[in-house]
Amino acid sequence: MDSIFGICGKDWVVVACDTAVNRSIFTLKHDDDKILSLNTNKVLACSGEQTDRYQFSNYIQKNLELQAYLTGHELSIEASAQYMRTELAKALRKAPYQVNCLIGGFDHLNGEAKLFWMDYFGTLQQVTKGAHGYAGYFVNSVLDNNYQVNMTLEDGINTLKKCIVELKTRFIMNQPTFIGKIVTKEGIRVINLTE
Amino acid sequence: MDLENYTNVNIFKKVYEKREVSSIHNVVEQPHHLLKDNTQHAKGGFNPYVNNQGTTVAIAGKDFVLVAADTRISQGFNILSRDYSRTTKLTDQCVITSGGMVADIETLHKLLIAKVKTYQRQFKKTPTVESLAQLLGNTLYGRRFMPYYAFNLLCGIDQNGQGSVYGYDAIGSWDKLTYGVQGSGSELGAPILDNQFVGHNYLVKTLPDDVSVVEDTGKDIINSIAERDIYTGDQVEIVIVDKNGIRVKREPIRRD
Amino acid sequence: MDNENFGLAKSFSSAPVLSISPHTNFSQKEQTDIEHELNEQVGTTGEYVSEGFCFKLAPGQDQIGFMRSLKEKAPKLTDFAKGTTTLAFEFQEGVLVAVDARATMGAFISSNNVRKVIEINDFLLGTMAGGAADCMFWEKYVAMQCRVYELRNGEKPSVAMASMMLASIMRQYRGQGLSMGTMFTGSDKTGASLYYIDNDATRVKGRLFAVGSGGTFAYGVLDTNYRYDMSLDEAVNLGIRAITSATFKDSASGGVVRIYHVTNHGKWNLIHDAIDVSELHYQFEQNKGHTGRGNEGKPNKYL
Repeated sequence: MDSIFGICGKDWVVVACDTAVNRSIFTLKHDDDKILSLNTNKVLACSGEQTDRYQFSNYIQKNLELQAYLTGHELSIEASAQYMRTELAKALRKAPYQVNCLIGGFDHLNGEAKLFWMDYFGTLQQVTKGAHGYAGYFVNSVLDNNYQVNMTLEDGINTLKKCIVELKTRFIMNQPTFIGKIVTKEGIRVINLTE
Repeated sequence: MDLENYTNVNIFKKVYEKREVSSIHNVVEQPHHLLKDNTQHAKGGFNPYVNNQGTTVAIAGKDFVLVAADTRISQGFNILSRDYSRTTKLTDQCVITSGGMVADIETLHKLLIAKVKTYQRQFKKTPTVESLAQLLGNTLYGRRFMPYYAFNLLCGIDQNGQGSVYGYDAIGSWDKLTYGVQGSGSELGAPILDNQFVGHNYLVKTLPDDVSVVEDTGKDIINSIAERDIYTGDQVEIVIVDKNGIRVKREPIRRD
Repeated sequence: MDNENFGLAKSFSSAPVLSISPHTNFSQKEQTDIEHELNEQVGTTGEYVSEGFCFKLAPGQDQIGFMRSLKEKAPKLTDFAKGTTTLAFEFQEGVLVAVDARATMGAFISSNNVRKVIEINDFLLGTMAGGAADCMFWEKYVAMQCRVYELRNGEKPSVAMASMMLASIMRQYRGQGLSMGTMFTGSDKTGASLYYIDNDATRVKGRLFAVGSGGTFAYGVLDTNYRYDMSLDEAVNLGIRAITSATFKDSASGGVVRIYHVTNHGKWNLIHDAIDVSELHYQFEQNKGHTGRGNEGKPNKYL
C-alpha cells in the first residue's frame, strides 16, 4: 500500500514516497525513508513489504558498492537498473522479493537524468514518469497531464505536490507525510513534500 | 544420523530441492509458497496425529511434589486401556507426566530417559530439575515443524529441596509453576486447583507442606474431573517425589 | 567479520565448542582426533562450516501444507497463547517496556501470570506475542549468539546487530508457520534503542510500539500522553496506565502489569514485577471520583 511515484526531466529526476510503515491495522512508523540513496547520483525507491524492501535495497546497495571497490568504477544508472532487474528476476524463481521499484539517477556520461520503473516480476522500463501500487491509479493521470518535455525542476516538484494533493483527497489510506529525493548533476537533495 | 527428513537452518532451500527431484509430473512447481493458497492439503491425506486424551495434575509442596493422573487412554469413544501410566521416572528426583497422544508421549519419555543417561555418562552427575526443564523445552522445540502431540508437566525436587513443577505447551514454551494440569481435563481441573491452592491472582505463593492433604486433594481433583470428562477415569495414579525418592500408588475410580 | 554470510542466519555458528570454551575436557580424545575434527569443521577456507540446526520435518513432500493442516490434524496442538498487550517506547532516559500477563487458549485463560518480557541477557530484552515457544527459543538463541560474538570479538554486539540476527532467522523461516511479534530492545554504546520484529521478518526501528490484540487500546493512551522528555516516573505511570486500559477493554489481555526500564548505560532494570490490573483499574477510577463498576452516569434499571 506504499505510494511511490517519480518524474524525470532533462537533467533532473524526482522520486517521492510516503513515509508510513503499515502492518495489519497499525501504522508502525511514520518517518520511514523508503528511498535509498545508492550513491551520490542514484536513488532506489521501493514499495512492498518492509522486510523485502529492506533486504532487497540493502542487498543492491552493498553489491553496487562492492562492484565500485573491485573495479574502481561506479555502474551507470542504466547498468545499475539492469543489475537490479537481473537480481529480482533470479530471485523470482527461488524466494521472490515482493518489491516494486523506481530507480532514478543522473548519468554523467550523457549528462542526462533517467528514471526506471520496475515491478517485482522484473519488468524494467525507462520512463519519464511512473508510479506504483494503488497510488498509481490516482497519480498516473496527474503525471500524464502535467508532464512536458522541457519542464523545469520546479515544475516537476509542483507536479508531485499535485499528486500528493490528489492522494490526500481521494485515497482511503492515511499517508500524512511524503518525502522526495531530487537527483541532479550536483547530487541528491531531500525535500519534504508535505506542506 | 539419517538426515533424510532433517533440515538445517536454511530450511527453504532443502525443501525446494527435494521437490524438484521428486516431482512426478513434468511441471515446474513454483515456490510461491507465500502467494499460493495451499488449502487442498488440509483435507485428506495421512494424519500422523491422534489424541488419546487423559488428565494429569501436578502440585508442588515445600519439600515434595505430587502427581495425580488418571490411567485411561481413549480413541474417539473407545477406551483402549484402563491402566496406562502417563508418568515416567527420569531421575530419582524428577518425573515427567503427559497427556495427549500416547505414541508421542512414549517416544518423548524414552528419548528423555536416554538423554538423562547420556548426561550422566558425560558429566558424571545426575541432571537437576532445572536442567531437565530446559532440556525438555529444547527437545520439544526441536520438533517445531512436526511437534510431539504431548502436553507435559515436569515435576521434581530442585537443588534447594523445594518441590517444583514446570508446565509446557506442545512446542516447548515453558514456565515454572506451583501447580499445573494438562490433558483433556485441564479446563475442568484448573479452576479447582486455583481454588484449593494459591491461584494466579495471589502474588505471595506459599507452598503447601502436608503431603497427605495434598494427596487427598489431588485424588479428589482427578475424581471430580472424571465425573464430567468422558476421557478421564478408571484409576488415579499418585506419584510422590520427595527427598527419599519416588513413591507410586494407585486407586480405582469410576470406570464408566 | 570476513564471512560473506555475516549477519545472516546461516552464518550463525555451531562452531566447534572447543574453540569457544577452552575448559572442555580433552582427555577422552586423542589430540590428533581433535585436530582432525577441527580441520574438518573449519574446512579448507578457514571459515567455520555451520551445521545449523536440525529440525525434524514431516514425512512426505509438503512441509508447508503439513504445517497449515496441523490445526485440523491435531486439535489443541497449535492452541498457544495469542491474545496479548505489550508496549514499549523510547524516552529521554531510555526505553520503557510494559506488558500484561495473560495467556489464553480460545476463551480459556491458561495463565494470568505469564512472563512476557524475555530477559535475553543483561543488556537485551524481548517481549513476547504470538507463539510463546517461538519467541522464547529464538530470543534465547540470539542470547547465545551474542555471547559467542562477545567471546570472539571482545565486545558486546550492538542492539541493531542482535535484532538483525533475529530478523534474519525469521526471514529464513518465512512461511513455515512461526508466529512471533516482538519488541526487541536493549542498550549499547549508543544508548537504548527499540525495534519491532515479527514472523514476516519485518524489522522496524522506532520510538513507540504496541503489539497484540490490546495494542490498539494501548496506542490510544500512549499516543495522547507521550512526550519524549518524560521522566522515568512519568514513563512508568504511562506504561502502567496504557496496559491497564488495554486489559480493561480487551478480554484477551489481563492479569498483572510488568514494567522494565532499559537505561542508556548498557543495562536494564525490573521496575515492577507484578501489579494487579484489577486493583489498578479501581484505583484509577476512584481518582476520577468514580466507583469503577461501570455504572457511572447510567440510570439504574434495577432500582
